[in-house]
Amino acid sequence: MLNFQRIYALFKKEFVEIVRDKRSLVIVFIMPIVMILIYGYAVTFDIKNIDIGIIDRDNSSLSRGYINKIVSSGYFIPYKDAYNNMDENIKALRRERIKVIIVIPYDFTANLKKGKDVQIQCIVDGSIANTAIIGVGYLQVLTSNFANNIKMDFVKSKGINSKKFPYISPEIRVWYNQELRSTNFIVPGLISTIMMLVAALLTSLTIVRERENGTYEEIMSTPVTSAELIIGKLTPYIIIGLIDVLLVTLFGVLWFHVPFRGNIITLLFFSFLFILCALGMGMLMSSIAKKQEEAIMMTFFSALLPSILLSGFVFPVESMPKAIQVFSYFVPARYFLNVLRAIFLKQDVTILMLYKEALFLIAVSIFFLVVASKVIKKRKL
Amino acid sequence: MEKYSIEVQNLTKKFGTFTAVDDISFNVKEGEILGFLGPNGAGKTTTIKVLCGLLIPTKGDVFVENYDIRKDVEKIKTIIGYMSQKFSLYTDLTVYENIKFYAGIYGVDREEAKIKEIIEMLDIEEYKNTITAELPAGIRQRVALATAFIHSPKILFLDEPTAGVDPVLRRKFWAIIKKWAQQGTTILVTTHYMDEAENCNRIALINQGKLVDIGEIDEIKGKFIKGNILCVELSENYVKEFNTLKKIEMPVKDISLHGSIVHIIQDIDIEEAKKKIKDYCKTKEIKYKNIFEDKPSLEDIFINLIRKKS
Repeated sequence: MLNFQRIYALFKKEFVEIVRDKRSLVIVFIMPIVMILIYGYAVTFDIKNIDIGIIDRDNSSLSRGYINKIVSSGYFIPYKDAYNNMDENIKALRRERIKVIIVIPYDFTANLKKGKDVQIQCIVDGSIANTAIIGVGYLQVLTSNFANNIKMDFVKSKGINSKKFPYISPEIRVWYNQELRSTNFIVPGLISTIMMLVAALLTSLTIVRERENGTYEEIMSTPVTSAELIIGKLTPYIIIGLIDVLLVTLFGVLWFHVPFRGNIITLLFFSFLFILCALGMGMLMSSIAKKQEEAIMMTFFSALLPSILLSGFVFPVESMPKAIQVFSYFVPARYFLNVLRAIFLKQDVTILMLYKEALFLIAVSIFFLVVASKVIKKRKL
Repeated sequence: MEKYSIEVQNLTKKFGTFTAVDDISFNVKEGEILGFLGPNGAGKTTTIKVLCGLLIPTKGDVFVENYDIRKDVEKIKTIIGYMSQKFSLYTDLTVYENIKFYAGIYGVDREEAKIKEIIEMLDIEEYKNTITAELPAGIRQRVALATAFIHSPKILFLDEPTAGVDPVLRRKFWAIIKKWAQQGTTILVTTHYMDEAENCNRIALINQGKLVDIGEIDEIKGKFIKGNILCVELSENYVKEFNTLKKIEMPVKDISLHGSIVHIIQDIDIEEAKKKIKDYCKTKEIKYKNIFEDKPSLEDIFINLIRKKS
């Protein structure tokens, strides 16, 4: 049976220790704000203003029209210093001054007039793959758009009613994040990362610290059971974790204007489950590690990195190799991230709709807490 | 029949292949102060940790207040107090908060009154609201003692409770311990300050995991040291002179240096021995301040014991 008086004594002691420890306070309140500012501003997956070198060998009204189309899209900025100079453009590409070079051939207008296929050469700096892929995508869309217009003009010039000419164009509607702003999905992702950091890191220190100070031995000589120890020690961190969730959410909504369409109860419920997972992991690290530094490193690699890299926060889970996808099922952040994005961006999301995520988070937290308590029991000292 | 607080039968504790405690048996009476004496690594701390339920014995039986350590360790933990080697306290908490924490853990009745009482008893009132990290070792020791005794345990385990504490405070500390023992608390204490062991009712000598002997101090002294002890107090160059003195030609059983005083253990008549030593000192030009007879101290026993072993 749990003794609540002992749990309360542990809870109060732990809370006072956190409040008096400056390092803990920085982790709890300063770090989340700093992280959200850095990520919110610096990590943007929206790509705009790609510098582009242009070689126009045709130099006709048609080729200028094509260039105009590209530049006026807003995604590309022409590098004027090296206009039409291949050597300078290649140098610029090498120096990372520009990311893309397009070369319009001599026979651009002539071939188009003859109704022949035309190829535009496009040289892309692949060393920054993300930018390259997105840049090429933009170029393809712009080019086929341009080509379509030419075709339509041709059809019109032949006296055919262009309305009868079949023309398929997708009409894209983006739901939930209409402007496709990446801050709108970075901020929810950040919440899970910050939670993992705060909860797992702080708890990973709690038992090792006691072991280092020798107080652990004294606690173990008292009638406190390992379950009481875990509950008493974890509760303060759950409360702090939930305060942090609210803090970061508020910051995201007010500062970065991220929409918050779900409800706060759902958010707190899932945050609670996720914090339990994180605390369980931290607790396990804490009971295994011998030194505080060791606990920090272990938490970093086994809890923090996977929740950034394997959760879908930075890289979509769908595009990972199968083996790693399987591994990502065991990363609680993956589920929490789904939940967060749903709560932030979609309306009418209820706890019931997210029952799978809830069940998984419950299972993982039970797993870690039980293992941690077994380790504590076994490894008395 | 006498009531035993602690009964240890053939206790062995191994860590892997290393045997820290090797087949130890002893009993501790209620209200007794038993001192564990032995060099570092002798197995004192390991024995205490087993008795506190912190380590599981490899072999043998341990009963604390008739509870079996293997079955009723949770019950044992409610009636014992343990003070570990390092005066372990929560350094970010005040003295009062530390004591209150343990009062909460043990579920002490009339908590505030009890805390007040123990703070007064240990004379730490002026430090009540000081953060423990800022306290000197002597005060920290008393705070640690307060946390171990807040629930008035039947048995108190003290692991080197006076290490690094100055002699005046050590005396104060022992006065409190003795008072508690008189009130019926059984106390098991480890130390390697020999003079402190004189405060114990009985001592247990432990070396290399084995119980060498257990008994009253005088009894043990008689057993280990046959003969008498002559003390020669030397002057400044005592190390050099001690080395010369070692070469004296007389049947010496043991000769050892304690500060600037040489203890010579020997069998022949005291007066005759004194004369021999005086003559020797004269010829070798050893300047001594005084030569006198003394009762063997525990330190003599201890050195004797270690020498015998090695």
